[in-house]
Amino acid sequence: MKIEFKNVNKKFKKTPILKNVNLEFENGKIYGLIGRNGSGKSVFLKLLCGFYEPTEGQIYFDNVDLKKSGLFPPSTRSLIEKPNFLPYLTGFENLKLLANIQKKISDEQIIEVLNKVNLTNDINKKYCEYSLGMKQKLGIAQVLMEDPEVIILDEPFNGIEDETAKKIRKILLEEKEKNKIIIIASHIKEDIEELADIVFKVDNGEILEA
Amino acid sequence: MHFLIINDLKYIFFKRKNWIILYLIIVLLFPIFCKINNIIKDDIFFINNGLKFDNSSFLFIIMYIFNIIFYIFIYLSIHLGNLKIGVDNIFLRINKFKIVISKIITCSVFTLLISTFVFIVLNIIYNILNININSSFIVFIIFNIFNILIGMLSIIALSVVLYGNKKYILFLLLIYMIYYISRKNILFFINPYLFENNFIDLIFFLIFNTIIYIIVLKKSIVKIFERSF
Repeated sequence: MKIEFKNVNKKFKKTPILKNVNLEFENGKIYGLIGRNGSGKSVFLKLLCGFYEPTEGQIYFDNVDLKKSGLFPPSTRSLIEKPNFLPYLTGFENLKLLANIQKKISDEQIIEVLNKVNLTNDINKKYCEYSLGMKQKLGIAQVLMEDPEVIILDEPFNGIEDETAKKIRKILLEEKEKNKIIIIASHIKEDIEELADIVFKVDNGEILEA
Repeated sequence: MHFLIINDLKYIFFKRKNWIILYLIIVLLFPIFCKINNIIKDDIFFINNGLKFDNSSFLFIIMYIFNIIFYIFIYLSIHLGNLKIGVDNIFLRINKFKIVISKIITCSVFTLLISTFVFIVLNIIYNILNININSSFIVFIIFNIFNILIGMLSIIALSVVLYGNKKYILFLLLIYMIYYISRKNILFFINPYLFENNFIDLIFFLIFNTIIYIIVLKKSIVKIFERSF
């Protein structure tokens, strides 16, 4: 998988959010995006997921223009901003509902991924009873469960205790070894520096290699 | 796809329940108001359901507008309101065509459920009030189609506004014009019976509108999603 941003600009009304972004992402690497809040990191990730369309320029997934193809990016999973699940269902039920869309994985595989993120004891709790950290862990489980080729995480360690954060870092490094593209955005430099092979700095709508 | 439909229906019935209850109360109390004010007409059932515009009473005009606004509001809610509940998780697992189809099904199921309930209860109320109405299953179906059409047209309008592309708006107007001309000339020539019957005409318009809806929404779903964040 190869992802390319070519001269991508994003404006909301007339306000420029991202300016002339030219980037490439390749397999087997973790990419980090650092920038203060409001610098355009989340908008960049949403463009990458196809949730936003560039005002100008193109985004290619394996040489296929995302906008022209009218498709969402293939084999991509994301956790952007905060996790979104149905509050009246348990963590397991939420993941099962999502897994049922593509029917790629079994219940056992869902439980396995919940174990990975230390949610084993809380799988039967309703999502609305989850703490911020538990919600975040469920969001990460949702991203990992179907073994996607591209993993996009925005502030993945928000509200997560040190022990689980360490575990998730380890999981991400394992995923990288499986030749995946992992893109992580954070305003905490240490989170990124510890994991990323290549770090980009997002500042005032411009993205430059740090 | 059923996940999206159930998700949307749950959203509408939980989050918009106050609107639904308000709609049901007003629609079901309408015949009583009419009886009290002695403004009963032969086609009161149609006026009650927003199927016929009648300007002979202020109450009738209000009822017509209220019906239309309710369905537009619910349809827009189905398309926009629940996008914040986990749809970013869903979007990456499903293609846009399935999302659009699921929205049509959700709107149709919602309309079918609400209008079936209204149809049954209104029949009972009209019977109790001793008002003779010639309501039938066909009327009920027409009522459903009419509401689905209103909803779909509102979504098409929204999509066009979001696109803000003048060429695109002209293209849509051209397609609608072709439909009207062809339906009166070409299709009438093929089978005149079809267009003597308003019900069949309505079905044709529904099919035509559905095709336009799918084309337009499939293109603009990301724009709608973008605005909802």
